[in-house]
Amino acid sequence: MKLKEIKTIKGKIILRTGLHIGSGNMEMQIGGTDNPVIKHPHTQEPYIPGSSLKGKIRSLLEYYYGVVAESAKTEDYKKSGGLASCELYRRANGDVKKHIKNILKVFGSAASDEELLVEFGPTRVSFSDCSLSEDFKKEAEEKQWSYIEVKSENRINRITGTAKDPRFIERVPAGAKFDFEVYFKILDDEDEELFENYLLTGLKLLEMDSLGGSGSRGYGKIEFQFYDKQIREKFNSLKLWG
Amino acid sequence: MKTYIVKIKPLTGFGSPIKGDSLFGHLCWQAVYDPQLFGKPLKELLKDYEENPFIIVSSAFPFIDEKIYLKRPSLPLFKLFKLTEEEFVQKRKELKSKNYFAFEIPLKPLNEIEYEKINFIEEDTQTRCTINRISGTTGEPPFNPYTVDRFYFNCELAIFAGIRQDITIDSFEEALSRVGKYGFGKDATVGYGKFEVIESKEIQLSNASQNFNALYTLAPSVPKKEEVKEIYFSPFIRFGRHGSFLAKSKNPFKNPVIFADEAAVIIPAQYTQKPYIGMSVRNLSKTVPETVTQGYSLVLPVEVR
Repeated sequence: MKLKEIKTIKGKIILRTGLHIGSGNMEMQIGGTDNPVIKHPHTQEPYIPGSSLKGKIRSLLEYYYGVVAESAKTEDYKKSGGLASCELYRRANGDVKKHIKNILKVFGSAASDEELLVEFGPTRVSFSDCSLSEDFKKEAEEKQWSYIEVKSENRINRITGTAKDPRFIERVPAGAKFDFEVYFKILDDEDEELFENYLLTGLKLLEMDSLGGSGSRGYGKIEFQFYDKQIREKFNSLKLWG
Repeated sequence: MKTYIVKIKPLTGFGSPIKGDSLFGHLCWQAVYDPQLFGKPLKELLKDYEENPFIIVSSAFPFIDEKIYLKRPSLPLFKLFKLTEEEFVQKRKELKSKNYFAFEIPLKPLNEIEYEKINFIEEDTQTRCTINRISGTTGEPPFNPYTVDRFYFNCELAIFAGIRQDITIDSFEEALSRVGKYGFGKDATVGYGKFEVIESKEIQLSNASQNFNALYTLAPSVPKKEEVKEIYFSPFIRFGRHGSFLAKSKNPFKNPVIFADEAAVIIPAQYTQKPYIGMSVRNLSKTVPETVTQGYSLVLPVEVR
């Protein structure tokens, strides 16, 4: 195991629709919304936590490579929740076993035995929290845009035709741009393949899916813009199906 | 051994404070990943760690308005402030809150330095959850939301580093910037602990005070008995854990170590030319018996009156 390279992907995340990554309301503010988005404690500017990116990308890859389906074969699937794990790796066979191993290599695993430790090595990927990009902040200042919108929602009672359950949800509005950075350790020749087939594929899947809450209602559609031409071309030419 | 001040810029929140012993551990992992980073593999570097440490790093200190601020020495207040007993009683709380002082060369005697109240950390919590891939929801254990503590530095930071002659400052900077890229401490892979190295500058710590009679430590340390005549310190207990892939081993925990936290003041038994005190700490881990922890600390000569 030798560190051959730390690959870097730098770029921007552009919001195509409003994004809601909740902060788990710790306090009640007079006039505040019930569902605030996560904000930097100094600047009070919204940001995208690295944990949201990592978790969502990992879950999409687990669906894509059939790990969730493999997990559902077992009796304790409700408890395991379909996540790739060392236990599942030991039980699995065929192609999916390889995918579980690679997901654990890229994203890390919980405690495992010595044998698997050496086989998997350290977590390859390291995401960063993504803060609003300087050029977007400048533009927002000039045009007096807010970094936050409050979207009101309700449910219509189908019988009476009236609104129920009104709620107010904070979102980061569409058009906001965040600086994006991710590092990937290349520890052996096989890791080159992991970079493309797992990290880049995961980013592509995320672009097709959504980030944060209420994805099925149109929230959290994002677009990646990569600075590196080679990575941009690779990413654009990725074909996930067919 | 040459000594340097290395400035770093925090880029994200942190889950763990940057203390000398844990930063040393991170640098050792970089030497494991890339055996040629310091010119020799880690095993070689640690061969004579007891007599001749290859790297000694300090904890990170705030760097505000072109000044490095160090922690108030762990001395009784009457050795730091020139006040009457009555004033001590009246102002005790106010004095205790003055927790930092500006590092200047030459350093005034410790009871003539102006101590300041500085808060350069903002604490915060982050709520997280894991989504059950099968139901698509969170809420039932083990998928219920939980909170994680973290903190933000609102300034740049300075780290003091002692580097053996056979190690280059470039390789040290490269190792430190790799730690910063990947992230320091807890939850590095989900976005915590990122920083970038700004610059490094050589410094002669021995010039800090002309009439010194004591040593001020810059990292948690385990001083040797024979080095110490008297010591004033705050204890710091490190319940250590292995990093990288060993963090996932069945027993990732090391034996706890009682350190004298940074800002300890040592009246040495005898003065030496060495810019550091302390020793290496071993017998820490059942998983990796050869594990070593930095019990060394770089020192500033200071004058205690």
